[in-house]
Amino acid sequence: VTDAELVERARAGDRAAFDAIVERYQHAVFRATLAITGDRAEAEDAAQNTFIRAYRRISDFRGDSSLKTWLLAIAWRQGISGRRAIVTRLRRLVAPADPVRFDPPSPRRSEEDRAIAGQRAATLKQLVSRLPEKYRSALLLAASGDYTFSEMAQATGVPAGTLKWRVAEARRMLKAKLKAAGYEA
Amino acid sequence: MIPTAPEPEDRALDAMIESLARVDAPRGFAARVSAALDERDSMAASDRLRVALAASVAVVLVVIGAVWFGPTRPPLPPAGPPSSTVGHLELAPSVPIPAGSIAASARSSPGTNVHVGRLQPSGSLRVWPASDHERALPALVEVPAIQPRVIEPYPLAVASVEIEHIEALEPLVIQSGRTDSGPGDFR
Repeated sequence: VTDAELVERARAGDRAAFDAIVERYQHAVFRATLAITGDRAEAEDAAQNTFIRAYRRISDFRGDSSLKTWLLAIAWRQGISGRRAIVTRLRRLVAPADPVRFDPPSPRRSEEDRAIAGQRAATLKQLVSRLPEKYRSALLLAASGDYTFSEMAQATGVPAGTLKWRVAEARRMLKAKLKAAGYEA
Repeated sequence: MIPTAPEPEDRALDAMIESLARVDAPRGFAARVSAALDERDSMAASDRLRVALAASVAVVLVVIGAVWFGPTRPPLPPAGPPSSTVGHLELAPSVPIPAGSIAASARSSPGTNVHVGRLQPSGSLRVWPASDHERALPALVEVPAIQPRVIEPYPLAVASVEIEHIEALEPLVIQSGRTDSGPGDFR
């Protein structure tokens, strides 16, 4: 079933069709909100609000862009407004954000390699979370593999060239900080 | 892979960044969204019912308020049989006053434009526009006015009156025979 068919059925009030849309794009939307918020709990809330808003505004979708880009635009706004919410700021004050869980390294490596890789990954996670927001969100959104720069530009309103430059700049900052921490980039 | 054509030595870094970014939605996320949408639908239905109920209550309150506080017209005079007095006045031909002056004086006379009603239980004093009276003015033009007759002053009669001469009165002295003063002495 294509996106257009699902949208058409959802517009007609078919909840199952919209559930299929959620099932199809839940990971992409969640990664987008995670890239913006940097926190899993906030990302879950923002992703849920994204789909609720999309369900409410599905009749406004004209098909000028892809459904994924449209959802990304909503997720982007939800993530930004969520970060600005007073409740979110207070929660960050009480408990610092724990952005992402890092996947364990390959089991075929030796114990020493795994320990080094784990330490390096933990360091990288901290460094990524400390990046300025516009660099971090561009880097993680691009690294998610769900969106092209063109789609990101269309959804966020930031030119694609600017987004590419932010990604390159974020990578450069990470490499420099890893090197300063004693890791080879 | 990050779409920026990284150099080969950066692939390890990119792989780590991708593992940070490619995080799946939590298990059961889609079901959670579906439940939230269900809850929203049911809430929307109850909200619609609540809004309809609130609107009905508001309309009833407005009607009650309009009945309670709205303007009431002063009671109309009882419609009696045709008055013989009116017929008598219509028949009086000797009234040379132009009708326009009557209407003008009726409009300008104080107290005819506004009626002040009785004090309501709410304490507000009601004021009614004088629309009824204004509608009645043309009918007043048809009614002939009566000019009061000029009353001449009554001529007073003048007559002289003779008054007798009266001697001056002497003070009255009571001879009681008492020499001492005390109770009963009225000298």
